[in-house]
Amino acid sequence: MTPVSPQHAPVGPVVLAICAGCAIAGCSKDGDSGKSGTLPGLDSAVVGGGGQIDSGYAFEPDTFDPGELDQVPDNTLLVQHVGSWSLSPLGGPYRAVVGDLTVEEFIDEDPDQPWCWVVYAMTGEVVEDERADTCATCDFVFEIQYYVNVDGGLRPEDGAEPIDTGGNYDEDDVVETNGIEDCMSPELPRDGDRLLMGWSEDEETIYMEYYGSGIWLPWYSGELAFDHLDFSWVDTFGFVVPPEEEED
Amino acid sequence: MGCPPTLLGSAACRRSRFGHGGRLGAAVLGLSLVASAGCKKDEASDDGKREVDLGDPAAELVLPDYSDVDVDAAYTEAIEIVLSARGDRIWAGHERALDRRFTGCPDIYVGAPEGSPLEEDDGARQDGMSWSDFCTTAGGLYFRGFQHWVQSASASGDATTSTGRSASASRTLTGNGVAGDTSDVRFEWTGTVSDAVTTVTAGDYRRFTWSTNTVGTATGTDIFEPASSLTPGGWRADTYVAVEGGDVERIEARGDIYLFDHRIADRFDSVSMNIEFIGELGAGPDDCTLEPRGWIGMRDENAWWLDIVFQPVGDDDATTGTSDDDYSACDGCGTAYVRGVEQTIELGEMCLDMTGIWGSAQLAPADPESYVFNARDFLED
Repeated sequence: MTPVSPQHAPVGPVVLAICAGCAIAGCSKDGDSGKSGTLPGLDSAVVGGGGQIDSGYAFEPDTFDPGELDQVPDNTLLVQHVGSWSLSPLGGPYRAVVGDLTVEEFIDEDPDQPWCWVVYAMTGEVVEDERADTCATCDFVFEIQYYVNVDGGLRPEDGAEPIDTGGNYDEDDVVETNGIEDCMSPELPRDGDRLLMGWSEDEETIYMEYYGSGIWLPWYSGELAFDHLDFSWVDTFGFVVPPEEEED
Repeated sequence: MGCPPTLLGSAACRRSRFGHGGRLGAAVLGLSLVASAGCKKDEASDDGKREVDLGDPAAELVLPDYSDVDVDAAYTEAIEIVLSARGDRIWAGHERALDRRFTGCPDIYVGAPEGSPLEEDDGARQDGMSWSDFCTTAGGLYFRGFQHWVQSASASGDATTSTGRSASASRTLTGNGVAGDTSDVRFEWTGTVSDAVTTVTAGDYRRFTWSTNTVGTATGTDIFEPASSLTPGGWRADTYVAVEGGDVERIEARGDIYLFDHRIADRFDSVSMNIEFIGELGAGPDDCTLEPRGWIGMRDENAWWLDIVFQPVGDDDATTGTSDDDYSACDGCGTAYVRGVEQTIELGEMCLDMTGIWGSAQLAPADPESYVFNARDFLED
């Protein structure tokens, strides 16, 4: 609302009140309680209670508490990365790693609505040159190569049992999923990608070096025990379900 | 963008496009008009029946007095302001705003947010990240609207070797959103800004290029630090800037910017330019380092433009072979136009010293590392 200049504000209401008064007086007839020559007191809207000129503001100040309002996403996407490394030689110092990583994304955290499903295998060799030195808090750094073993397709539901020794499932026990091209997880490795990753025992964190930049980002939280490192990242984001998916 | 807006059809533009011929043509045209007016008057008086009413004499064009303006400083500042309207500054403000976020305010999305124009774009819908919300925390911090960003960064090599280390990064921020608190608007960006940077370092050798394409409106203390910003009130801009530095010195800047609060030399609120600077470093034998190519205009609060036109730029360069032309000579001087009128006396030819631009902090590239955005780290804060 544009504030009205106080010196200009009363002109309209005053004229309006006078005109309205004239019109009413003109329509008066016998029995009218109005007395000739006596105008009613000015409307309080024209002159305020304290005799001040009306500022033009006709509404109370906004008392709406916007803290009560919080728009929330119509849909969310649960992003879940879970994996493990087997380190060797046993007991360390570690020189090599083999592992796996499963990336799953679920619409509205509903296991019956998986958005994407990717399973990686990974191998890695220890890095001990200056590249490893750039990770200040890492105990050891590997160059990890990722292999995509599963790229979407029919994902068995949790608890489903194969119907044969070939690992096939009943069609009622599987759900169609998208592959890596449709996954929404940021910076998801592609088949054959090599990334530097380091482990910080003190922070219980796997760091990833961001594409040769020399910047190490906390990538997965983990737990190392008996030469086996379990790691994960789970988070929920807002998500706009594509129209074609909503139709399904 | 061949000519300043106030100079379309003026001597400056005729000069750019036609060289000597433009001025000659204008002179011939003027003589023709005088001659034809004379003929018409004769006709009217010959028949003795009708008088041609030529109306009142045209009002004299009022020209403002710019004698109190330090033109060198004003134009250098104008260029610096355009250089400062860059993507990394807006992004830095965006990061500062998001540093104050609370869980759920604003909501973070993967891909494009709900209700944004990007939702209709298949590519944008799935790429990048965004925030979208209409929320206020109990402490009065609020986020309204949306911002969507896509970024990348990579590097390779070793700076201590002869082949060196190269790093490149790019980012696009598209949005229509505001963040603030009970005391002020902290961040507001409506539009799209894309920027990119490349750096090469090998021992003592350093080379960088950066560019930004900024189309939008920016305000807020997170972008414009009140004490140090060139434009503390923000701006509305449609600009493209490209800078090369290190072993060369080149600046290319074009577009328009309107300043909400700040006034250059206490009177100019807008800048429009299409300008190319070449510095001493890495200049070729045919490069002119004394003056830029192109033009710069500043608009005062009466909407009157003060333009300075230097050597022709780009496609307007039709003056090849006329290096002795007063207008196209590499002499460090441009021609001033006030309200589109060439100034021959008071301002006249303007020999500006804008060498200070090469020492400007606005030329420094953004650190490619600043383009890295980690959603994991961000969400855990």
